[in-house]
Amino acid sequence: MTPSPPQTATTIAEARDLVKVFRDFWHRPKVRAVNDITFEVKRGEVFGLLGPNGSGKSTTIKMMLGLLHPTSGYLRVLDRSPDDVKTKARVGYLAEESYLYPYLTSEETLHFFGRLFNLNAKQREERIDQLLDMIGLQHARRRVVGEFSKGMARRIGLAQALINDPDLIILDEPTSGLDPLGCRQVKDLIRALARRGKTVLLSSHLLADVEDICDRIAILYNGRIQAMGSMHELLEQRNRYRVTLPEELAPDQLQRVLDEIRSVLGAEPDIDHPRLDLEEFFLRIIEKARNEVESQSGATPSHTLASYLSAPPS
Amino acid sequence: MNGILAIALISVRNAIRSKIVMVLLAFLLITLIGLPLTLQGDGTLPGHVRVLIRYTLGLATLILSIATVWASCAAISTEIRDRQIQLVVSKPVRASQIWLGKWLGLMAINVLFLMLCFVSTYAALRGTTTPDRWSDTEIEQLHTEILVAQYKLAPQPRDVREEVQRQYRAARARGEWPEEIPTQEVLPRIERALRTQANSVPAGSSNRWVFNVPHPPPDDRPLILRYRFSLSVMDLDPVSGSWTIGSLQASHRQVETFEQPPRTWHSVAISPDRIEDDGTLTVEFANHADRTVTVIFQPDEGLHLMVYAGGFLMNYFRAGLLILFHLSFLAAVGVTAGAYFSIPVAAMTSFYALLLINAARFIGRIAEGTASGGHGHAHGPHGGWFQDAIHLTSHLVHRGLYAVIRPLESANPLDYLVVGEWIPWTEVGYMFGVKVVLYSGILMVLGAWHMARKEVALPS
Repeated sequence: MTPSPPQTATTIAEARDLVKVFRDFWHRPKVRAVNDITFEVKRGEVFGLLGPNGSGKSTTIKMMLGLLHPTSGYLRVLDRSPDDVKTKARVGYLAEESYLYPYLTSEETLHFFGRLFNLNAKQREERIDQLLDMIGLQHARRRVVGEFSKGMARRIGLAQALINDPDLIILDEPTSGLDPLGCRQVKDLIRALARRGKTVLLSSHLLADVEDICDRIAILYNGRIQAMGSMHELLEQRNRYRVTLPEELAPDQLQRVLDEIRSVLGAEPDIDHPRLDLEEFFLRIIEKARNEVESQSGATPSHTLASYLSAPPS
Repeated sequence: MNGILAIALISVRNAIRSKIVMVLLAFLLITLIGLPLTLQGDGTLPGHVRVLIRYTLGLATLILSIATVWASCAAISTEIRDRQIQLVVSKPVRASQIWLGKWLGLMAINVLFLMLCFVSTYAALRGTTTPDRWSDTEIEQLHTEILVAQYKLAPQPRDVREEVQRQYRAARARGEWPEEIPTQEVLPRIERALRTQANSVPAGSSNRWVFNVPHPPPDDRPLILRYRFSLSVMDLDPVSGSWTIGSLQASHRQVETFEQPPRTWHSVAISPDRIEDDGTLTVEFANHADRTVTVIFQPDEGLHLMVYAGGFLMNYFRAGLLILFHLSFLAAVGVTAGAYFSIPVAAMTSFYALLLINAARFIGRIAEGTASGGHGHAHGPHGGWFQDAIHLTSHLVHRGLYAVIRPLESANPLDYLVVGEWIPWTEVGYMFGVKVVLYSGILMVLGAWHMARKEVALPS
């Protein structure tokens, strides 16, 4: 790896000129999955790796977790090598598939991962209780994970990623397999974690997810970063304007405003009615139905963040 | 430590869920329950007990060995295949802890099942050796010869060095050995012939052996003379003879006459007061055969004295420990192989390694053979530098391999139990050091070293 200046206090992870080449049995280069990428993840931000399948998102994440080794380049996570157990102790990871032991119950699964973080029995009990409440699987704590739907397994996967109260949370396709309600809950959770000061790095190919929750994104294609910046910087069209009028505007007032615009521009402006996006509409309907029907199935989250998930020291 | 225990627990659960392991364990239960009910032996009580111990525990050990190899090969490789290892490796757990956790989990299962095997076999032993089924004499013989721990003494060796040299010179003078056969090949052959001769008793004559007994047995417990002989003719008919035991003074002599078949073990109980004041015990065999047949006791194993050293249960426990150490080594081989390869390749590699270990003596002999061939001492004509190079390479490979596997060679602990032979604590300690600490430790380092460098999330 090439040497690099030390990370600043606000940098949680840093990759410079990172390359990953997969080789075949005879060690011949087969695929250049990550091709010379450079990025930084800053403390407290939600950073998104966005790209189509095979663009190098998961490979980058796996290198940051020590599951794959970079072919070349510089990679530091929490000021250390990703392979260092001290780094791993402060990282939470949700894999793209849940990869859980199918014969363990929810509770046993979380105890197992809690033990790997060397948490004592009391800490584990408290955290498991809060996490199961938070992800809405308190009622399924003694059911084996192998019987779970994909969405429920993702929730357990998310809970195990948070059991160590990590400083950096790495989520590979966090909303994959979740229904719209689950997606929204996970996105709300990520935002809540960010508000608590946690740093989140996520990958997704679902544009709406990334747009909703990320502060900054990097768009990958063919192993290279094609664009990177804050959501605002990347999406704002500085040469176009949108004027929002008050909701209670009377028709004659609207007519006068339009006449004024026409006289100034000398052209007809585009006018239409604002729309809800489909996710928002869906959630409103479900919320209404939920209020009407008492019995529910699947996950019933508490809508509160586990209290032990504290803000990291600044 | 928390992490190691968590991984050990998962390892136990994985093994219990393996269908192959479950089938093998079902065989184990069938063995433990079925064999004691069906085994007959040779109709004698010692025969019954020997067969019960050897077959029940032998088969149970074999099944446990296969189950251990399979479960240990699967321990890491299945987690790599199913990708659960990705979640484990992304946690603050070192590769050595993962290896150790897997190995400890397998060892916990082995301890449990080995205890089951030993306890149930012991219960079967007790249940089938009751006075209502066997005579008091047979039960007494069982408790003095088999259900005890006795150390084994060989007779004092006869000094044949001068005789070997004398016969060698005479044979050379007569031209019996061609000059191209080196001295170091001729001398052992003459020595072997002389030792066999020293342990042979022609018809109508007798031979005498002396044992040094440093620690007489406590509580007037008898010493057991065990022997097995072959005949100079291809014949299995019984031979008549007698043992005269003790000093040559008539008052101290014990005479046992018999008519016994060759090639099977026989024993004579000897009163400890036959031991002389200087700690020696003299035994004399007289061949009373009425035909021209020589009785030959094998120089190494044909004749020995068993002296009481302790109870059976502790010896039984030590045998269990030796088997457990062997299983721990198998588990280490499997876990390490599973860290490198997929299950079928890991299992094949492990079984091949075990095959090599079991063939240690054979490999040692090949190493010796290639040593003489490789240095140009072959009897045939020289094959040139290419053949010499092949010999030398073969010699070095076999010698290196033998050096690695030789420390793992050990006698089957069941061989000790079936003759009531004392398993020394030194043997137990040595095997613990070699199989558990040294070799399993080396395998752990190799496995953990590879795992720490392995990319567990490579695309499939």
